[in-house]
Amino acid sequence: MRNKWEHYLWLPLIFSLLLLVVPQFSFVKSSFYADLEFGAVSEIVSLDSYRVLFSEEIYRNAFFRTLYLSAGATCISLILALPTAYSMSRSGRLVASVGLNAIIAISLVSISVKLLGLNVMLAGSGVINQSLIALGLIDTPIQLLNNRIGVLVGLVQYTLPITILMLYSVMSTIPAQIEEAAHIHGATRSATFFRLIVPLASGGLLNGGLIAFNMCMGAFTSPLILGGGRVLTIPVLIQQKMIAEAKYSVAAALSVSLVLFVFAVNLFLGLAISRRQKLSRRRRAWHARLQGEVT
Amino acid sequence: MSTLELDAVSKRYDDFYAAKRLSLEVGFGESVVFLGPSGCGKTTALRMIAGFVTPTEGRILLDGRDITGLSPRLRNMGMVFQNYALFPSMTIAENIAFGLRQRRESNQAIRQRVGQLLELIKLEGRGDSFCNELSGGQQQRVALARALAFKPQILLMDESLSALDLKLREEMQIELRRLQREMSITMIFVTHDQLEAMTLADRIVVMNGGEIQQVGAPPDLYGRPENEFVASFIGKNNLFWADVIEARGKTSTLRLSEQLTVKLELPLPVASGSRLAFGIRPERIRMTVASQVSGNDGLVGTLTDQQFLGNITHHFVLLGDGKTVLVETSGKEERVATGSSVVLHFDSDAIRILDQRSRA
Ligand SMILES: Nc1ncnc2c1ncn2[C@@H]1O[C@H](COP(=O)(O)OP(=O)(O)O)[C@@H](O)[C@H]1O
Ligand SMILES: [Mg+2]
Repeated sequence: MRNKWEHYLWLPLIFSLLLLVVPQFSFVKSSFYADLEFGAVSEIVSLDSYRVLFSEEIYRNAFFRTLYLSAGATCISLILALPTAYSMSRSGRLVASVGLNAIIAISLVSISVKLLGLNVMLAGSGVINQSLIALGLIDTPIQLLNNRIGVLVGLVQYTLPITILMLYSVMSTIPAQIEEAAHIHGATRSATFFRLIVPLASGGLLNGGLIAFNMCMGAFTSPLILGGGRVLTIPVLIQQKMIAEAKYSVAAALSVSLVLFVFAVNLFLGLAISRRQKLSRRRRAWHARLQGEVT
Repeated sequence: MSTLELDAVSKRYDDFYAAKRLSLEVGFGESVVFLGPSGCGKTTALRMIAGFVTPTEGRILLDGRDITGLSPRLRNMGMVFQNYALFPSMTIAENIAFGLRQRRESNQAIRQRVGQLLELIKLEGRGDSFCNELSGGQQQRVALARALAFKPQILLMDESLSALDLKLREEMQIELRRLQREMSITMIFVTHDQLEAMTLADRIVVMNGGEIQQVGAPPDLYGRPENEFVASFIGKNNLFWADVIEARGKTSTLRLSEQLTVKLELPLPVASGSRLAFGIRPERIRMTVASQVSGNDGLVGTLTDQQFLGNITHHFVLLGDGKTVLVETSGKEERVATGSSVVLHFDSDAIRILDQRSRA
């Protein structure tokens, strides 16, 4: 008889439910009991906390800020990861394994250590500003810390390793013969890359991009440290509300909204893509029929 | 002037020659097949012609121009890969159009040519399908159309039919050969299958151990092999090594082994005292039951096994020294019972001398 492997999935599922969904429930619940003064909460169920989110500009702005910083960091990560992953998948076994191990090692270093490093580098007296001054490109240091630039750099550093790994795993499944076929039939290296490799890696680009985006939306440490508390993203705001202002219900409502929003983005993109695939398949079938009738 | 010329081309990996001093001229519209066992360097040779592998020595010329270091995309060659290597992200029409697009042909010219080729490969109306919707044979034809679309100077094929099942493969061989002749395609085909080579080739290049063993039209290679390797690789053969004990004119006394000495009429005179390799094709040997033979010439043996193959029969005859000789008959001869004592005869022109060296 066939072994039903899916039965082994029950255990991790139950585990995840306990660890993930149950705490979320208490969050969701507390978001419906509005904040009173000094950390106390109301005993009446209401949507007051959500109303606050929609009526006050600071929250709306924070949402947009989080969204475009995340989207921007994701795009930069993908653009950096694409050629890196491609070169690694096309180099010898030694180079590839050294590269992969380096990336894994880097992503294992604690985020605070990496951020402190960035802090030193991006500072007015840091390497970047000092070299730009030495080259005569600028006179006074540019502000790279405690603003959105710093946060963006931090987010890219945070998501780049996983993006490279995701793209690498796709790139290494693209057979080298496909590229040879392109070359012998007249394609330049760049035509091969953009007309063959990128379309073939589009699934990986999408998955890697979504993962990077989700990581950015939930990122807390980089916006906090490199933004110096001045770049208010949703996660930073949640922390402020909870620790500094003891507004538990608003914090809970924020986090519920964040989760729902990210979930919606993922769902939307997933559906849009599967719809497009279905559509193009139908369009092709229709084309084929048409041609068949004509000829 | 030849279309393609290999001038002592070698590819060395460290101190191992994957291909060694290959020299060959291929004429316009000629079909040349590289044939040899696995690992003999056929693919290396083809990939040097394509430009994927850079020769360590020698030159490659196309229409008299040195292309040894030229990038593959500038060589104007089409290639069909063993696993086709079609572009999965493109439709069939886009695959076929690929070479034309890279050459910046007009949309109209591309559409017309793609239509032509779709018709040629009998896939009209399927241009908008994707490759994974096609059978292996259809994919193979798309790969061929893609390689021919831009009228390349040379068509390269590396074991391109090996993935098809036997019947389809044989059909494709004949189809490809017809196409190659009709369109005067200069083709270089690589295979390890000698029947495929014979079907497709004007000339076969037999390779072994990275070196060319012999180049010739299929009947030449079969009838006049120049060395032991070619003699045994092309068709079936019986190979012998013998010491020439005594040579008087063309009649020589040969010692095949300690136990077996025969008197044979050879096609050409040999030196007494030399060591000789020769081959005799199974269909050139006549087999007679020993009791019906008078005289004591010929090789005496025992018929140990027979294999009926329809139009022909294979007979295995064990000689006195333990060597087995293969005899092929075409079914018109009288049947001989397995286990009989038989005598083998052959004409002197059935003996092909493959090697002759002085005894060390
Ligand atoms: N990149 C390479 N590095 C080292 N040896 C190689 C390389 N490519 C091929 N070879 C060796 O060269 C020989 C010929 O290979 P190949 O041309 O692929 O043979 P064929 O196609 O006739 O089977 C083989 O022994 C193979 O192991
Ligand atoms: Mg090969």
